[in-house]
Amino acid sequence: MSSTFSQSFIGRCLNSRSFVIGGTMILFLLACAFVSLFWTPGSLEISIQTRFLPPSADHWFGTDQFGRDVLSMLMAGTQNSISVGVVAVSIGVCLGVSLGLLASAKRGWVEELIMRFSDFSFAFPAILSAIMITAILGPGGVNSILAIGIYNIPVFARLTRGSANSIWAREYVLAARASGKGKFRITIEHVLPNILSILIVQITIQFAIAILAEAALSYLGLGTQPPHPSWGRMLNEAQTLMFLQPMQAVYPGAAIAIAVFGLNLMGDGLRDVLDPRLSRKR
Amino acid sequence: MTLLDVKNLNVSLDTARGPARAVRNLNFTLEKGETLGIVGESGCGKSMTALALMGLLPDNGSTSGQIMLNNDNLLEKSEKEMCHIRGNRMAMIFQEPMTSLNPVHTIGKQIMEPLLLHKGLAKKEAFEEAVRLLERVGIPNPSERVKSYPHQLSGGQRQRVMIALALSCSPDILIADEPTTALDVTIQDQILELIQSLVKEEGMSLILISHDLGVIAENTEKMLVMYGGTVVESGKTDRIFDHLTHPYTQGLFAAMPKVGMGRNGRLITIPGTVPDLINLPSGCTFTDRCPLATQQCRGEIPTNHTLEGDHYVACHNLQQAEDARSEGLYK
Amino acid sequence: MSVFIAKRFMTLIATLIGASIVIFTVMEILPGDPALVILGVDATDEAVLALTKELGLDRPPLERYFDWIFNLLQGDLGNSYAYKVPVWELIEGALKITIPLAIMAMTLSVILALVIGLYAAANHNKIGDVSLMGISQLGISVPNFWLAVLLILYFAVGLRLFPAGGFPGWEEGFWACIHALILPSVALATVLGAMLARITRSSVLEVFREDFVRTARAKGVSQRAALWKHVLRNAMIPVVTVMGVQFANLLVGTVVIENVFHMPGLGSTVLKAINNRDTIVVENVVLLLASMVILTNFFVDILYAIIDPRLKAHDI
Repeated sequence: MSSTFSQSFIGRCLNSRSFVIGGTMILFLLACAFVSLFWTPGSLEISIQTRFLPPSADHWFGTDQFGRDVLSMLMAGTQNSISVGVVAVSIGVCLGVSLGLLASAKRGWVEELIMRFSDFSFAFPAILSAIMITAILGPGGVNSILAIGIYNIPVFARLTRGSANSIWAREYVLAARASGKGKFRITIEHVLPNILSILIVQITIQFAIAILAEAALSYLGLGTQPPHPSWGRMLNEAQTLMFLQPMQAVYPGAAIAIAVFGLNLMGDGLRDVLDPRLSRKR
Repeated sequence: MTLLDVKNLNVSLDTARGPARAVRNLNFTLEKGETLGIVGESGCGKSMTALALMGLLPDNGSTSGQIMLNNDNLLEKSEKEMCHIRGNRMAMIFQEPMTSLNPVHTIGKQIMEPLLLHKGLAKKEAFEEAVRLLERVGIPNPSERVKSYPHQLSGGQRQRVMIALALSCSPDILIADEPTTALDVTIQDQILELIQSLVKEEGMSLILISHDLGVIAENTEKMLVMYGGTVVESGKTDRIFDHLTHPYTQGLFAAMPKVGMGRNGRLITIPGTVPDLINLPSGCTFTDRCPLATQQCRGEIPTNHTLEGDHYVACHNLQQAEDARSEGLYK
Repeated sequence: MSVFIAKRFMTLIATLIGASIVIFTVMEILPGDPALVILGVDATDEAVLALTKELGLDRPPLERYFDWIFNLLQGDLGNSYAYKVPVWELIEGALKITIPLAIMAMTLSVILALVIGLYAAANHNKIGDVSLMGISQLGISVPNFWLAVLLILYFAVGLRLFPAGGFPGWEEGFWACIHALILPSVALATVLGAMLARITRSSVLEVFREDFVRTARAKGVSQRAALWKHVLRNAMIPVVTVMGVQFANLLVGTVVIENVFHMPGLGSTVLKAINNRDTIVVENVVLLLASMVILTNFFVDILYAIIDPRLKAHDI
């Protein structure tokens, strides 16, 4: 059953134009990140001789004030954005989904406690929580990822609990309960597989938000620290040289926009495929 | 005097699968003060006919033919002219009183709207008129109720508000599209009686659309039976109920629960389903479900036979249908 | 209505208390000793201990929490660790930039959303609609601080129409300040406006299909009048919801955008405080921002009840 399901699922995804366009953009970025692990077109090392070179065959996008190749920096920056997204969303998914499933399975005061706690979360967007956390732990890549991850927890907890509650009310869950299955088993066998599609859509959205938030934090100097290449920090460094080399401020932002645009399109496409009811409304 | 004369009306809807022919070659007339019933299953084109009369078809709809209101063809009117006719000379009541009123405005404001629009009343006059109208349609305590929001009213009361709305500019024609279908059985009769008495008082003409033969029998003088977008039988209501002729009309009648049928009495059904309006059969649309169908029915569109007393029937096998009337066509 | 507001008000107070507890707990459980941070790693143990005592950090957490809240209610935000001046003095000037910026950006994005959303809905599936929706999809994906940089590049560096950054101060004249706030608010409003425009469009289209719009048309109301009198108010309900939710992001966006434009608003205040490890300033600014979000949501709920009379009956 699962193989035919996944085949038709992939087929339907490939029929969705937004998914294909968005997916292509994301695949391209993934490829950039992977290639940059082994090889970059130019050097990431600081060298005074090659400062401020204009775009040329050797340096497609030119070099920055430290003599580093901008294209190579952009490619290496992809690694950073992707890993931030993966880690921050994983933190949110692991803890948030578990809490949401727990709340939904236990109900009563457990649910009340978890939900009241996540109610406050709307007042603390990712960057605000990051500001709080870096104020104490100090700025840094890990701390900013942690902050974005923590912000993701209530997002997923709330979503999971809401959709899981509707699954718990279904007849087949009642049947499973009547046949004596435990709550844990029902959660794993029935609830989780049925809310998976909703979670996948949310993951793409949160991934995009995570990349945006990390770039903003790095731009502010609270995120990824030098010499790690990061799109947000490249933008910050380029801004000080805006009069000299305006294009340097354009590239990193465009990279962020491509990543976020690609993820948003993928999310739209997935939503159309996974939930036709939602897509009809749009 | 003929108030409304519909000639050769066709309505088609553009769909992803091709044009759906919702109404085909519809002809009827309506005199001043006359009541006309249109009966048929859902999807037979009766609601589309009503919307076409009002000029409110969905964006994918198109029409041909003539709708003559006092010798003016409505299909040639501009949108602006139609706005002046809607609610003023022709008004309509819809099936769903729960969703047909705007939830964010008071009912008073909604009744005042056509008065301000067509009658040029001042706000204060319109408000007083709205209270009077609410009283007329039997809403208790109208001067209080006029300030209520739709969600504070019951379904029956909302339909009364809809009637007040339709009545506000004393139109020549009132179109009621399944006005009681969404209501409790106990309230249905009250609403129909209200419509009936108001139509009499005002001397309005009424077009009553229903899937319920009983409702049509009690409330109309003339009727059309529609199937698959066309009229299969039409005439004086009393005459048709005395001489059920078209196999479809006979089926509709047989499918009605009757008093005294008892617990064991089986409800008769017409086999099959309504035709697909996008792929209509080339001959009579009822062929696939008709117990009398022949090869001729499949290929040729039946012409209208005129029986005694302006009674029209579109059927190839008129004689057999008339003969079968006594035993019943459906078992 | 008054019962509804009273109930909402109770929730507002509870949420504010909850938010203050969350902030205090986060600042409390995270490792890191403000005294040590202020004095540096080379400080002697005695000096650290003395400073800890001076800052009152040696008292039990519960006592400090109630102290904080009690003083807050009297308008006393405490003294900055780094500058030894009242925190309020640091924040006061910043608010005079951040709040006008947030209000301008919000207003601009609502105007943008209504104009684009309504135009697109009115021209459903026509070329104008399709291209505007494509652009708005792109607009949602653009990081606002990058857009800010691009705006500076084009309008300030290139065309020299606007200042590239800085803030003249309100005593320099109202229009000079508005002039300086235009680029930052455009940068903030574009992203939010694009998102709200998409929601406005789909919401208007959905309401247009409702039965009561057909009723209005049957009364003789024209298409255009039906849009203004019957559709718009109903269509605003989801737009207002998203506006409330997105206000938090807008406010945090101002923190970032202020840094792009080198404006001494809350954003740079908080960044400076982070670099100085001035946790008491960070704590209060975060509470201030969170309270602004919570208050906005309170007013959104009230606005909601005004738009949709059904909600009053249910006391959501």
